Amino acid sequence: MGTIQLRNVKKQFEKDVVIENLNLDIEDGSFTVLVGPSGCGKSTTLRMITGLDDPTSGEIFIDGQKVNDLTPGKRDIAMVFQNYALYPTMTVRQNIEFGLENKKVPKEERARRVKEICEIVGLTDYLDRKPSKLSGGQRQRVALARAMVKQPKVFLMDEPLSNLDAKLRGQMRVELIGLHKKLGTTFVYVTHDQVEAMSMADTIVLMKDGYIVQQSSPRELYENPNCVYAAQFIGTPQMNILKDVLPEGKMVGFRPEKLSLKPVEEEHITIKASVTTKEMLGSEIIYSLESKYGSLMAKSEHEVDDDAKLELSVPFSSMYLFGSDEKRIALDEEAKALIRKAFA
Amino acid sequence: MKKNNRSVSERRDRMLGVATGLPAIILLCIFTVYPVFYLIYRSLFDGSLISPKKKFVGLDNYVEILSSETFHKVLMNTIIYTVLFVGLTMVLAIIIAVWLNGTRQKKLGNMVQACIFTPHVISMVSVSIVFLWLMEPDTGFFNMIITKLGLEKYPFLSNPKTAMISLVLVMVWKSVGYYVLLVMAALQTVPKSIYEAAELDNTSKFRTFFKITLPMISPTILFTCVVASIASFKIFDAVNVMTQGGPVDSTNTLVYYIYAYAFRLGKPGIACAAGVVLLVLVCIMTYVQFGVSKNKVHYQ
Repeated sequence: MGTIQLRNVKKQFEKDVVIENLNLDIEDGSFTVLVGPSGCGKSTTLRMITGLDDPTSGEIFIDGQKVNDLTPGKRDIAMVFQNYALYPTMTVRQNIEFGLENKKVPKEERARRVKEICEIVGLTDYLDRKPSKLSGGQRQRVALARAMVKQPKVFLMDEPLSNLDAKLRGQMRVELIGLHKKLGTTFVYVTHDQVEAMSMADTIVLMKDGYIVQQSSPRELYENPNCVYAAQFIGTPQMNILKDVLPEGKMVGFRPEKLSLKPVEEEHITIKASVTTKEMLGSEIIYSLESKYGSLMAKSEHEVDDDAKLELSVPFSSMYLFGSDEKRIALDEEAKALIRKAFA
Repeated sequence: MKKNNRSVSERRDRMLGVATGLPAIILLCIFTVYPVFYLIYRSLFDGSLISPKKKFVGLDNYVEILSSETFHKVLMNTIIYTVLFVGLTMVLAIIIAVWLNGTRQKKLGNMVQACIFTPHVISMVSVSIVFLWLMEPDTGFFNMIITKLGLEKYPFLSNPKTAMISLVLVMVWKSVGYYVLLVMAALQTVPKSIYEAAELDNTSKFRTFFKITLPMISPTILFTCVVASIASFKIFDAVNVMTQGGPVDSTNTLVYYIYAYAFRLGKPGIACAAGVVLLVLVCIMTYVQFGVSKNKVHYQ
């Protein structure tokens, strides 16, 4: 079992309040990703769960037990660091075994576990090498093995893929998903990369300025963002938000991939726009467009001329309405009428 | 054509290298290489420093010192001094540096650091004179305190049994701050995340020190050991001011022996031979230290 609860947690570095009042529930066996821009408090949250940083106030529970007063080593957790933090003076085997030796696990048991883990992550041939003789990907695996061998209740990972090249990162992402499925342990993963968050998480915790903006599944976050910030954080290119079109500071938003270059059957509005630039990505094309409501982004499989004048269709079903406080509001008939009028 | 071009620029680079290196090489030759060879050459002759007459005696000077009991004692003294000084200094330097590096009382830390570094900037002769007074057996400050505490007077430099350790303690007091600084610089290069990983691995403080800290700073420790050993093989000024090698040769070390033969006893040939022995010993010691620690030292 590996549930995590944070209750009214506050974190202050001298006079700097990083987290004001955080409440977070992480389910047992979930793959939870804390995501947000740098400085949003996601790493601080993770470090408080590990015990490397203490909360200024509030309570932290792991598996129902309050852990505020437990040292990191006694919390039954394992962490993978951004720079791996392997012990440079030890071989791969010693790195992996070190935590077990501290726990006074008998020698045969240690050897068995190390062997088992190294077969899973593919390190068997490198056991007697030092980390400096390994590639970035292999070091990453050592860091993972070192965490796994302890059989913790919770795995915590602080941007573990950010030092890898793009190809390896993609590969490790798949491996981590597989690993999570296999182990069934709680994973808490910190990243600033929305693609990583979307592809791996079963729960995304989107953070900003020390508070949680939205906590939901990736699909829910994509389809039902609860504010402008959440809507624009997920998805590339980011969601088009048109300000100054609707009265009372209301805003209307739609994703670039939902902008149709061709007329659609369902209920929609039409926007006249001209192409300014075009990015060919292979399977699709990203257009920058200029309309009288402002600049827009569109993503489509259809190719049009470089300076084409287009009539774009936006179905109401793909439209999001936000209030002047940037919070999502319902798109009811009244609002639809307002939008129709504004875009007429 | 292209090949030719490259060789021209290569030649120019080489010329530039030689031109910029030459002054240093010339100075090195005049002040280091030549004296070493002259030392070896001169050790084969007899005769005083001032008279131009020199007599070739072959290896007689070496035979004389190597069969002399005083020289054996001097060698032994030098080795004992080196072992005690390097051992004590390194242990103290590491303990103090680890404490300074980890302490949260930054003000206290800075003060301690300033206090222990200060002796390093004072001249050796001044330090020696001050300690001569402090360690004076009858009227000295240390014995005043010792007797106030109701203990027996300690002879310090006046007794052959205690003179060496007293000398070592003065030298450790003077130099430890410098070595603390070197060790601290090394400690600060150890990434914080490694300590955090160790904390997550439930590592005790003791084990963290021996399994992580010490191996991580081993290159610096080796370097400081070598430098400190060479320096202590060459100890002279403290001996000259405080004990003149006495009592009964108990603090007579190699360089003081050389000095005494060259300038007091008027036998530069013997002094040169002893100098060659010193050179050979330092070379051997350095080689051995690097060799022994090859597998123990971790270079990043």
